[in-house]
Parts: sequence; structure tokens; C-alpha cells
Amino acid sequence: MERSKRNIIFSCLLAVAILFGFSAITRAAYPERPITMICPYAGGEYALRPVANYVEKALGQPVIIVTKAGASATIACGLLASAKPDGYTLGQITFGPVTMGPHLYNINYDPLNSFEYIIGYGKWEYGPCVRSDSPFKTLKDLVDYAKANPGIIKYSTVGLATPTHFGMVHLAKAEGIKWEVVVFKDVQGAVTAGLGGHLQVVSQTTGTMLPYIKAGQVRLLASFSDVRCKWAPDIPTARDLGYNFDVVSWLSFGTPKGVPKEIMEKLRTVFKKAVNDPEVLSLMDKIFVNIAYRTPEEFKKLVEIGYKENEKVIRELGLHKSQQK
Amino acid sequence: MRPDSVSSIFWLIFGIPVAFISYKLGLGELTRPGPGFLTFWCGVILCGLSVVVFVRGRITGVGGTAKGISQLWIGVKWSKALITVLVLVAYALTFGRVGFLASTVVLLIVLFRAIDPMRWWVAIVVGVLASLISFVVFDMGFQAQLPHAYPETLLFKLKKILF
Amino acid sequence: MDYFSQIAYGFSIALTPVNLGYCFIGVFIGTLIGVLPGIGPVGTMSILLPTTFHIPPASAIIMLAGIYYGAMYGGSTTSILVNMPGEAASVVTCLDGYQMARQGRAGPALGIAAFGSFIAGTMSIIGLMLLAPPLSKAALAFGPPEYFSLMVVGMTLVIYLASKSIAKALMMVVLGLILGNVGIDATSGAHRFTFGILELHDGIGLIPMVMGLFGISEVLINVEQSLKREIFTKKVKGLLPTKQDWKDSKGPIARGSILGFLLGILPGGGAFISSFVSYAIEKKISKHPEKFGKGAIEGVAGPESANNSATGGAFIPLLTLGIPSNVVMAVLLGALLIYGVEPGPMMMKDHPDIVWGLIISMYIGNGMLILLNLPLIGIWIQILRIPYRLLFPLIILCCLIGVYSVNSSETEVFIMIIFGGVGYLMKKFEYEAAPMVLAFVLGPMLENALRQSLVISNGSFAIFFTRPISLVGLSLAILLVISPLIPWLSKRRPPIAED
Repeated sequence: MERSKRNIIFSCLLAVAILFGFSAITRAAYPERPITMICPYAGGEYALRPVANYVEKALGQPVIIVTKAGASATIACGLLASAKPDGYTLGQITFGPVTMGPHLYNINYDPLNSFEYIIGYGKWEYGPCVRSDSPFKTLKDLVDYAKANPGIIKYSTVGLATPTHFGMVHLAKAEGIKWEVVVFKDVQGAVTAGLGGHLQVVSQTTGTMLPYIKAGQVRLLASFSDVRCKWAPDIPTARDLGYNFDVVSWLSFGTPKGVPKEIMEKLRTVFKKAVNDPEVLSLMDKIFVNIAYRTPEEFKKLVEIGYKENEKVIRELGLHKSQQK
Repeated sequence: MRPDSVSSIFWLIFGIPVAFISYKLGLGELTRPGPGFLTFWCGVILCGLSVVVFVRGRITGVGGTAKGISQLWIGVKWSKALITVLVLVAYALTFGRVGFLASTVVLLIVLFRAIDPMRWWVAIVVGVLASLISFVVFDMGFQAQLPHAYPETLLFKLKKILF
Repeated sequence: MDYFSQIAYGFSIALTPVNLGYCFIGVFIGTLIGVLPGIGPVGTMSILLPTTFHIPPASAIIMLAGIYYGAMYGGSTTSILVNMPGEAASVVTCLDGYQMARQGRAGPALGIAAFGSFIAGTMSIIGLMLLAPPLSKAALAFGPPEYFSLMVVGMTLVIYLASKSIAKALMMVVLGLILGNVGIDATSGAHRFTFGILELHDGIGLIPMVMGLFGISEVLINVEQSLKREIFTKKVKGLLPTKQDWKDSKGPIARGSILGFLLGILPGGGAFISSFVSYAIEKKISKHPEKFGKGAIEGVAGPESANNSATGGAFIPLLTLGIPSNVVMAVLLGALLIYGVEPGPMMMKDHPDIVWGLIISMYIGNGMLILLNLPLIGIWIQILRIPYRLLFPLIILCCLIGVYSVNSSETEVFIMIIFGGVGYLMKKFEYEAAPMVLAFVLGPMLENALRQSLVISNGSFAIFFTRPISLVGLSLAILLVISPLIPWLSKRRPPIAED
């Protein structure tokens, strides 16, 4: 080959190599500034901190938790969906705002397509509880009584068309029971009303009720989850008792759609390590957060299924936003 | 017109759509009140009370401490209050995009100059200093999560270099 | 169990240099946060939580709790100085505290607020120590019907907040009820007045609203004034409360302490409601109610004491039953779980070091706070001497940062500005903001309690009259409404002119 042609080819190759190398370096430089993690529930930051701290150490950049509570986590999801997909904004995506919220609120994101999931890491489980001095010792006791005395049993939930509500709705449908829901805006009201004996049943997350269960103040009658409660393994699930439903809120971390592949890979690796780290696990265990791994694809599937199922139930209850005046 | 007459007419006009929308939301029954129950009656009472205030103003001749609405704004430069509000609205619309530092510096300088003018250099110095200090204290210190744009990231880089 | 040995044990824990240090750090940070409007203890506690993982649980709780009740001290500072409530519980302090500041009496106002907070805080801790178990049982007895009657009593007291026309005050109450209903109805899921705006689905935020109604509107009113007149009189009448001030305040402080403590125990009760109720009560039993709203020191002493002792009361459900009465307690609950402490009735038995160490450290913390806050008064007063044209943009800046720091929401900044304009017009046309704010908070609680009660009672209204506490509450409310109409029943002429 002529010398000049060789030089040209050589310089082109060199230029291409440099460009590739450059882009590799700049990508590898992620993260070069603090990362924002959006927390969708007021006072919920402390449950995210164990993971956030691990990620912080692993990535070498601060992870700042920003709480944007409201409208059952749909506000946080809206903000996450519209954030720049550069890997510097991520958030906790729980089941509510992507499978239930869209049917109730006027949201500005697409629950099935606006997000990319980093990892599904846990779940919130639910179950009905009664005071320890209640005459109902098993779920069957409660169901039998409720069938014989329609309209007498009152149970507390947090919000309407929420998982705490749905468990009891499914049970009522399966057994043909008529019982009344007393809706509270916050957890403490719902729990206190039960502890004070003003109503018979508290339908809540098992995580919230576990301190009281362990202290003997409260009895868990059943777990509405797909598996038995880790910290109360002798309590049967609804499926164990022959019912065909479960209510689970899956927890994940996610980003807006469109984050570059390499950054996504990096995040997924780091988060996976975080959620498997023994120290993180023991902290989560102490605050009764159930660890349950789902890959991003599995989580997406769960969301799609949950979205359709919940739409059905919400419409049946007459609570869908299109059914409101 | 007396201030009370004007304001009571306002509340009357305000109360009507409130009652109307509440009615459409559903009143339910007394034993199972619907979502619109409370606000419907509130709207009705609001209209009723506004009539009372209006009539009382006419009858007793006393409709507020001032004798007429023009009196409410005598001797005061209401344009200054208006400017302040407009500037604040402009700030609220832009600070999310432009970032805290840039918008706050502009806000402070404008407020220092537009209402009761301070000298340019005082306005600029205090404006910049106040913005910087409050950013460092509240955002970097207390994690208030103020909006970040380019100037803020520069500041973070500076912090990294210095510390 | 023997109280004295428990108390002695608590002292042994709280007085270690390490724990004294943590206590100080906590209350110091708390004071800073409390002074800054908007930013509350919850965020800071969450940020500091990971740093506490490696220190003994007792020390961690001492520090975190210090942040909470420390913040309560500082909240009144901006209310008094510039009519800007630092948090919801300080709204009432604006009514008279700011007026005192304008009369050159900011020092006594701040002083009485600090002392009242100290006395009330200490009394509430004593109450916590001695009465926790029986009181917590009483707290559990409060179900939806009892909350309803409590809210009814609160609403009847709202009228006493009005200084001028009753009809206009009632209109503000009704307006407050309407605004309080904006959002998604919890009981039925209906969208009320949300106009499709997502941020309104949860309702209008209280903090943006009060910061606009009180803080921003005051700035707007002042900005209009002629340049020559100073907003605050240069003549500062003393730095500390006078003997007369003390004489006037001891009643309100005592009453406020008890009231705040009792209301603080109820989950969802809290500092905000107790401050309002204290104000209304002080005004009702005062010999010169017309002074309220114009700088009566009772209007500062009572509410400030009440909101501080409410923090002591708020600990009771957490320490005895493991139930958090507000968001801050919920974070503390999470912290306790992380430290491996299981809250509940067993906590006092299983972890006396944490419980008693905390209680005793709260005394010490209160003492530290009064020592911290008193010298600061001298500094705060200097702020009032800054020329207003330099001061007011900084006030606005604090408002903006404060509001944004709560939820990082631009919409809330807008809400604050809108209510600033509304508050400005309300001042011009002589409508009072305080009744509206109280109705705004109480209204939704009242409505929820009503509907929850009706579900429990299957639609029967009798439930409110068959349950003893509820019956007492409603009777009290009826008495309060009737009493001004029966001059010969009350000891003096009705303090409020009839319309």
C-alpha cells in the first residue's frame, strides 16, 4: 500500500479507537455526581437507607433520598417518570402506584411503560388481625361469625382500593360475607381503633402489625400473601385455607425509561449486591421488610398482571375514576 | 362601595359553584353522608352569610373600617405588592428549570431594587451572598433538595475540589 | 416496680458524658431546624439515622428525640419576629406574638415562649413518667365517636378565635371546611375539587397555606407602606418578660401544659390542635379578651406551652404501646426496630435503659434548650433592626426554601404565593385567617370521624350519646355554644358581641 493511504487508514482507525475509548471512559465515569433516590411515602426514608447507603459506598457518590409523598405514591412515580433518564434519578416503585393508583387518580405517566426496573427486592404482605382477647381464634371463626351475622363485623383499612382493603374484599366475595369497611387515612388511626376495641378486625400490612403480634397484643388470623409470613410461620395463608387469592405489594427500585444500557447494567449489579448484602438484609429483617427477589423482567410481568386484576376489582367496587362524577 | 359589600358579593359568587359541584358529587343521606354533603351545606351557608353581611352593611351603614374600597388603598403603593406577587410567580415558574442559585439571585436583586431601591452594588452583593449561603446551608447541609441545574453542579464540583 | 430506682437508673444513663453529648447535639440541631420555617425534624432524623447504627440505642434515641422536642422550641421564633409560622403548631403564636414584636416587645414574647416551653416540657415529662400506663389506656378508649366529639368541641372553640365580626369569622370557618375537603375523599374515593391536578389529590398542604396566609401576606401588606415608616418600632422595650408579664402568664402556662399534654397523647391529636385550643380557652376566660390579637402575652404563653407539652404527651403511646402518634414517632419507631428494640407494652420492662434514659434526658434536654434559646433572643431581636427593604426579600427567601423543603414540590410554592395574595386581600377586607386555618385542619378530621362512626354504628347517631367520653365531649360543646347566650350563667358579660 502507498504510504499516504496507509497513514490515512491508520489515522482513521486511531481516531475510531480514541472515540470508542473516550466514550468508554466517559461511561465508566458514571456516576460523577450525587444520585437522587425518590421515596414515595412520608416517613419512609429510613426503610430505604440501608440499601441507599450500600449503593453509596459501592458507587462512590452520595445517594440523596428525596421524599415526594402524596396521592398514594403516584406523585413520586410521576416525578420519576418525567425525570431525565441519565441514571441520576431513581426511586422506589411499589405496587400501588403502578397497579392500583392508575385506576383511581389522574396520573401523568404510563404505569406499564414509563419505567425500567432495576430490581424487585421485596414485598409487603397483608393479613387480618384481631385483638388477643377477641373470641376469634382462627380465620374460620371470623368467617363463620360474619356469615351468620351480616353487617356486624367492621374492619379498618388504610384508604379505599388499597391492598389492605382488597384482601377483605376478596375474602368476602369468596364466602359471600357482608362486612363493613371503616376507612382511615393513616396507619396509626387504623391500628389504634383496633387495639382500642372500636372495631373487630384490623386489615394491615404484616410488617406494621408484627411488633404487636410479637408483644401478644394482637393475633394474626391469616396471611393474605402467596407464602406464609416469615416471622409468623404457623399462621396459614388464605391459599392454605382453600381460597384462591392473594394480595401482595411488590417492591422495587426503578428508573425512568431510556437510561443508557451500561448505566442500567451497573445499577442492576450494584443493587443486586446491595440487596444480598448480609448487613443490609439484617437491617431489613429488623424493620420487617420482606425480601423477595424478582428480576426486572419478572417484576414487569407482575405489574402487568396486577394492573389488569386490580382494574377488575376496582371497577367491581365502583371506585374506578371513570365511575366517579 | 363599602368593602363589606364588595367582599360579600364575592363570597356569594364563590359559594354558588361550590354548592353546585358538591350537589353533583352526591349528598347521600344523613346516616350515610355522601362526599358532597359537607361542602354543599358549606356553600349554602357561605352564600347565606354573605347576604347577611351585605344586608347588615347596608342597614347599619358600617361595612368595614374603611368607608369605601378606594380607601383601602389610600396612601399605600399597591403597585409594590403587585410587583412582588408577579415576581414571585415568575420565580415559581422558572426556578425548577433554571436551578435554585440562578433564579434566587435574580429574585433577590429584583426585590431589592424594585420595591424600595437599594444601590445596585448592595443588591447584587447581598443577593449573590444570600443565595450562596442559603444554598450551602440548606441544600448541602440540611439536604433540602433544592432544584439543581448547571450552576449548582459547578458548586458541587468546587466543593469536591476544595475538600 | 419501684419508681425511685427506675428514676435513679435513668439518671445514671442520661448523665454519662457520652449521652449528655448526644443530647446536646440533638437539641442543638433541633433548635436550628425549628427556627427555619418548613424544614421539620422528620427529614433530619432520617438523615442522621444511619449514623446512629453504631452507637448504643439509648444514646441514639436520646439524640433523635432531642431533635424533635428541640425543634418545638424554635418554631415560635419566626412566628413572633416576622409573622411566619415555622410549622403548623406555631401559627397561633403569630396572632399575638407578632403584634408584640411590632410594639417593640419581641424580647418578652420570645422569652415567655421559651420559658413557657421549658415549664410545659418539664411538666409533660413528669406526667409521662408518672401517668404513662393509665393514660395510654385512656388514649385507646378514643375511637372514632370520641374523636368526633373532640373535633366538635374544637370547632365550637373556633368561634372564640374571632376578634371582629362573628358573621365574617363564620364565613372563614366555612371556607376552611371547604378548602379542607379538597382532595380525594378517603371514605368514598370521590375526587373533590381536584380539577385533575395531581398535587391536589391529597389536598392543599397546610404548611404552604399558612406560610402564605401569614408570612407572605404580611410582607405584601408591609411592602405597600410608605418608606418613611418603620415596620418595627426602633424602641425595644426590654429583653425579658416583666413582672407583670409573668403574672399574666402563669395561668396560661399552667393550663397550656396540662391541655397540651392530654391532647398530645391522642394519636392524631397533637401540638397544632392543642395550641389553638389553648388560645381559645385563654381568650374565653380572660378578663380582657379584647386585647387578644393585639399583643396579649397570654396569647403567646398558653399556646407555646401547649405545643411543647404535647411533644411529651406524644411519647406516651409510643413508649407504652408501641403506637406512634405522629410521623416523627413513626420514624422513632422504625429506629427502635432497627436497634432491635421491639416497641410495645414490654418495652419498659425489657429495655428500661432506653425508656428511662430517654425520659431523664428529656429533662436535661429541656434545660439545655432554655439555656440555648435565651441568649439567642438577643440575637433575634437584632434581626428586627435590619431595614425592612433589606429584610423582606430575605424573609421571602426563607419562606420559599422552607416550603420547598417539605415536599420538594413546585406546586406547593405556587399554593403559598396564591394564599399570600388571598391573605393580603383578607387583611384588606377584614376577614380573619385563624378561624379558617383551624376549620381547615379540624374539618376533614371531623368528617372522617363522623363517617367512620356511622359505619361502626350502622348509621345510628345514638353512638355519640351512648359512649361516655363522647357524651361528655358533646355536652361540653353544647355548653360552650349556649354560654354566651346566657349572661347570668357566666360570671361576666359575654366577651363577644352578638351579631
